[in-house]
This record gives sequence, structure tokens and C-alpha cells, in this order.
Amino acid sequence: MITSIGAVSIASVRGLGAFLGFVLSSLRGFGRTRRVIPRLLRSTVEQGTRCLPVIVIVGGFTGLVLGLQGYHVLRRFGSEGLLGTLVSLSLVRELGPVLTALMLIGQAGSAIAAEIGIQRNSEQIAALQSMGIDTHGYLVAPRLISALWVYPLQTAVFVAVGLGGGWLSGSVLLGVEDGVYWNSVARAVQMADWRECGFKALVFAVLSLGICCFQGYHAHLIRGASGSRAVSAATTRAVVLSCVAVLAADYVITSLML
Amino acid sequence: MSPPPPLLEARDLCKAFGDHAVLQGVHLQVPRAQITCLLGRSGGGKSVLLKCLARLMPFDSGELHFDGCHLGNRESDLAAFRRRCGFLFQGNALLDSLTALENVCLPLEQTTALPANEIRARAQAALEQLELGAFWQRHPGELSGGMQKRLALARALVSEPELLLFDEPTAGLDPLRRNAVFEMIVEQQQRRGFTAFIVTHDIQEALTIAHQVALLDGGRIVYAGGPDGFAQSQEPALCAFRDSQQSLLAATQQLRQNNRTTQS
Repeated sequence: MITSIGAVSIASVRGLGAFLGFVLSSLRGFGRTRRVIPRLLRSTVEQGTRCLPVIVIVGGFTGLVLGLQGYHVLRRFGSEGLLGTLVSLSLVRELGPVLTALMLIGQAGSAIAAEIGIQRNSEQIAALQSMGIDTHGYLVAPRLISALWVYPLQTAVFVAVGLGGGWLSGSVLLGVEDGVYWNSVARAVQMADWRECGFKALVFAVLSLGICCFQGYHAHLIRGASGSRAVSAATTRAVVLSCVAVLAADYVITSLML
Repeated sequence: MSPPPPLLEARDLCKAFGDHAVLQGVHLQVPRAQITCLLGRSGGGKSVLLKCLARLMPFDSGELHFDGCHLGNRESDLAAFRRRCGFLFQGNALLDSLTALENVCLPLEQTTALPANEIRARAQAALEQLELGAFWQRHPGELSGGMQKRLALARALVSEPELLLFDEPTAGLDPLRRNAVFEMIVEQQQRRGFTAFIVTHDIQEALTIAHQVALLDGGRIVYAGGPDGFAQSQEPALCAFRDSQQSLLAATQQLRQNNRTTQS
């Protein structure tokens, strides 16, 4: 029992160390590659443009549900006027960064893990190494770096659409005054809330994209699986670990910032 | 005047996967500007040796010397080695998200400071030489197996390496394409004068094109020398390898004859 707990602990610490080394080596390797702009643009499109519809849809429905639930709860206390506060703070502090990260993991992170896993499987990564190309800098760094602006921007879109959704269900459908709703939104959200939102988005970007790239890159090391099964296992592991990491990091950041 | 040192030399190279020792003290010299073919049984460690020579796989012990210098683990040494060494993978390992031209441009783009138009011109020249000029916009998945092989060779050649390592370049190809690939390698080697090290199963072709033949058996190089010596040697390991190839050839011919008899 103690032995197995020890083994798991050692493996976890090793894995964490390997992950941190991977992220740092990728950022360092970025400086060793050339013609980076096309790869940054491609990564931005991969994570940004392609994921935008999902972000808008999920953001809209999240705002709609928040408005609906919030209205009925607040009405019990005669506080419908605070609906904007509830919707905006929920979105800016928690739901915006977390749900955006989860959507990006599902859409872009899984695709990136699978793509890098296939590149590993078909020896494309070995080919890059044989050409003297820094594989971390070439394959991973552009994705990590573009995530640093894509995640905050997508979060901002999510929050904006969510606020619109809250207004639609709270004001248009349930009758809260437009002015009351938007005024409570404007008064509730402080600069500190936006800072927390942006910080979370940045942390989630590095964590989730880093984990997805890491799992895809090391798909060949997965025990008991090889070939397409290894890619499939790496993709699944990438999505699960990223989601868990995002939620755990959210708790830690929130508890430190409150 | 002493002869120049071999371009690549392995000294006492060992590699094991768990308890299974694949390479057990490999000594091998790859002479400059010549074609060396490495033969051996399937699963005998030929590809492992090749990847160790290319420093794509770490080895457990032993030494590698390139151009007379010890090749250590320093990043700058490895980077310098990789600039002078090309590798042709068995499955070609072309980047499937890039076009043929982008694949060939890639090593120059990432490892040299050449201007973009110069890189493009060189890549197009390499494609033209291998009769792929008309297909520069195609992705690897849109090319036939033989064309992919030529594209991989164009990518390996565009950096003008001194040493080119081939991992079973004819695996999975029909006899006609196989001959074409070997002819292409010989033609390019004669034109550019690089050192070629080829891992192959094809004993006949190896004896035809190679200046030096090496046989890997039991994790060691049991023969390294001229093709004539390989064909005539009475060493038990060589005889066993030649016999196994001949019996395989005879069995295949017998099977074909049986099939023809059944069909008629």
C-alpha cells in the first residue's frame, strides 16, 4: 500500500517535472526556429477562428441559463435588479475563463494532441529531428504562444455573448428593465475582476495547451498501446488531464485572489 | 600519406531494450563518398543501428566518430552533425500538412539564413531533378508511393548532406519501383558524391550497387568489406544468410510456379 502510494507520488512528481521542462524547452526552442509568423498565424486560426462558433454558442446559452435561474432565485428576495451583477460576476470571475478553456480543450486541444501524436507515430517528429530542427520550438511553441492571446480574447467573447444572453432572458423575456440590468453589470464588475479573469485565461492557456501538446508528443511512450491506439489514448488523456488541471487551477487561483 | 578517416565510425556500440540486447558491440566504418549497404535478418537490429548512427536513438554504450571527431552529446556538436547528415525514413516521414515544395523547403528554412527566393529556387531545382517539378503544390497524401519516396529523397538532398542514411528505401515497393529507387540513389550519389549508408533486405541490389557491404548478425557486424568478398566468403554466418535468402527466393519461385499450374 505504502509502496504503491510512494510509486504514484514519485511518478506524479516526475511527470510534473517533465511537463514543466517540456513547456520551458518549447518556449526556449521558439527562438531557435525561423519563419515563425506563418506558424503563429496557423495556430491562431486553429484555436481562434475555428473555435469561435462554439464559444459564441456556449457563451450565449450560459448567459441565457444564468439569466433565467438568477431571475427566479433573486425574485424570491425581491432583488431582480441585481440580475446583472449575478450574471456578470459569474461570467467574468468563473464561468467565462473556465468554460472557454474547456471548450478550447475539446475543440482545439484534442485536435492538437491527435495531430502531434500522429506526427510522432509516422516518424514526422523524428524526421524534423534528423533535419536539425528544434521539434519543441517548431511544433509546440507556436501553439503555446498563440494560446496566450487566443484564450483571453475568446474569454472576452464568451463573457460579452454571455452578458447578452443574460440580458435576453432576464430583460427581454422576463421583464427586468434594460437600464437596471446593464447598470448593475457596469457597477458590479471591477478592474480586479477583469484582472482575475485575464490571469485565469493565461494560466489555463499554458496548462491546457501544454498538456495537450505534451501528451501528443509523448504518445509513443504510452504503456500497453501503440499505433493508432496510442494516439487515441494520448488524445483522451490530454483532454481529461487538461480539464482536471483547469478546474484544479481555477480553485487555487480563486482561493488566492478572493 | 595516410588515407582519410572514415566519414562515420561506430566503436563498440551497444543497445538493449530491457533484457533484449539488440546491438552487442558494433564496430563499423562508413568510408567517404561510397555506398555502404547494411544487410541482416528482419528484427536483427538494422534499423536500430541506423537510428543510433543518426543519433535519433540513444545507445547504451560505445562511441560514434564523425569526420574523425568524437560525436558527443553536446547540442552544438549534434546540430553541426545534423547539418551534414540526411536521413531517408522507411515510411518517408513527409510532413503531411505541407505541400511537396514546402516539405523540401523546410530544412533550408529552419536551419539556414538563406533568403526565401534562394530557398525556393533550390527546392524547385531538387524537385525538378527528381522529376517532381509538376507536383510541387501537391500534398504527400496526393502522391504515389514512388513519388513520395522521390520527394523524401529531394528533401534529404536539398541541404546537400555529406552523409545520407537510408532506412530500407525499397520496402513495400514492387520490383520495378525497387529498381528505380536504387537507380535513383546511385545516380544521385554519383552526381553529388555524398556518402550513402543503406539498410536493405535486397541482397542482390546491395551486391550490385554497394562499394562496401556489412552484415549485422547477432547484434554484431560479422562482415564488412567488398561485395565480391561477401559473395564468396565461406564464413558460417554469411553462408547461412546467403542460404536463407536463396531458399526464400527458391520458395517464392516454387509458389509462383504452383499458382500458375493451378490457374492453368
